[in-house]
Amino acid sequence: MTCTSDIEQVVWSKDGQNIVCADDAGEICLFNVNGFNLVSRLQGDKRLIWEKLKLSPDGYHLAIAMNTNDKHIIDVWHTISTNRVSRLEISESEGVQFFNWLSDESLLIIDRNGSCSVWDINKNKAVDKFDCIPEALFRPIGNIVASGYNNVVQIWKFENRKWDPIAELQSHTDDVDTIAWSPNGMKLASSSVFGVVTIWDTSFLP
Amino acid sequence: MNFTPIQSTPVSIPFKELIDTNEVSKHVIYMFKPGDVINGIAWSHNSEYMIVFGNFGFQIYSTLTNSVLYSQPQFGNCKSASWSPNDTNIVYSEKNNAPFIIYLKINNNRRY
Repeated sequence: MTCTSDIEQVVWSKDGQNIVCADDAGEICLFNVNGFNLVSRLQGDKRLIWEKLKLSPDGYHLAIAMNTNDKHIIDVWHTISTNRVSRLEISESEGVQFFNWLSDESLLIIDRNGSCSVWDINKNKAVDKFDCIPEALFRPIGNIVASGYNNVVQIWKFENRKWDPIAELQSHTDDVDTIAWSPNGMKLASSSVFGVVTIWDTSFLP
Repeated sequence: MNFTPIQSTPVSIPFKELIDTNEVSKHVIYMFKPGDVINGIAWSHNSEYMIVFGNFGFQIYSTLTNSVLYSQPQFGNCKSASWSPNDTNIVYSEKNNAPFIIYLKINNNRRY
């Protein structure tokens, strides 16, 4: 059970049978946990170098951002069937700064101009576009978003294509680096550049 | 292997009538030393535990007891970690071309 090079990211599939490994040579391998054997390589094209992996909230889909010389590609794979279900092509001029799952069937992509677009993985195209906040991280339930800004975790409500700030969580003394919602949305973990982790009780949010 | 960093455009927020967060319950974990870099946080599916991973290895933290349950110092940089669907195993990566899987013993009280 090995990849070509050192592994950068690992993701356990929803059914517990497979593990996706992305190595620093740009390859993505999918292994079976029981037999420790290689199931498949997900890119299918050695020219494509992965940049980021994001598992969908329900765990059934894996979005892989990759780049080529002239465009950015986000492929979506089913983690159990290991079939590719969608390919989103974003022009180089727009580029991808950040992406995350908006729902189990849509991705939120922030381009270099700071605009957000919502991509439907079933239609393979953008279905909505609006101004965005950097690195918006949606809560697994509802329409609440968290983002780090300096030493503060900002909480937003996203409604009618607008962002409404509703809370600021202040504890860190240095810049917030990582934010992670718990799967039930009742807790939020944030870490700062200097290695302090704070766990917030977010059950107060609507 | 990384995206172009997002430009740190100042976000001017007209914060007004915000939820009062002074009473928000929080736990601050000082479990790292200078030079430690956190690469990410992975929550368990039941929202009770989390893996904090970085250049120091990784630690598994319980939000039920607010304590570190497991600590794994490594030679390499722990770049990623993920829970199995039933939260009984984790897989993590360090400087190696194979992932590492750890079986976590969990009793009926769901303590490691």
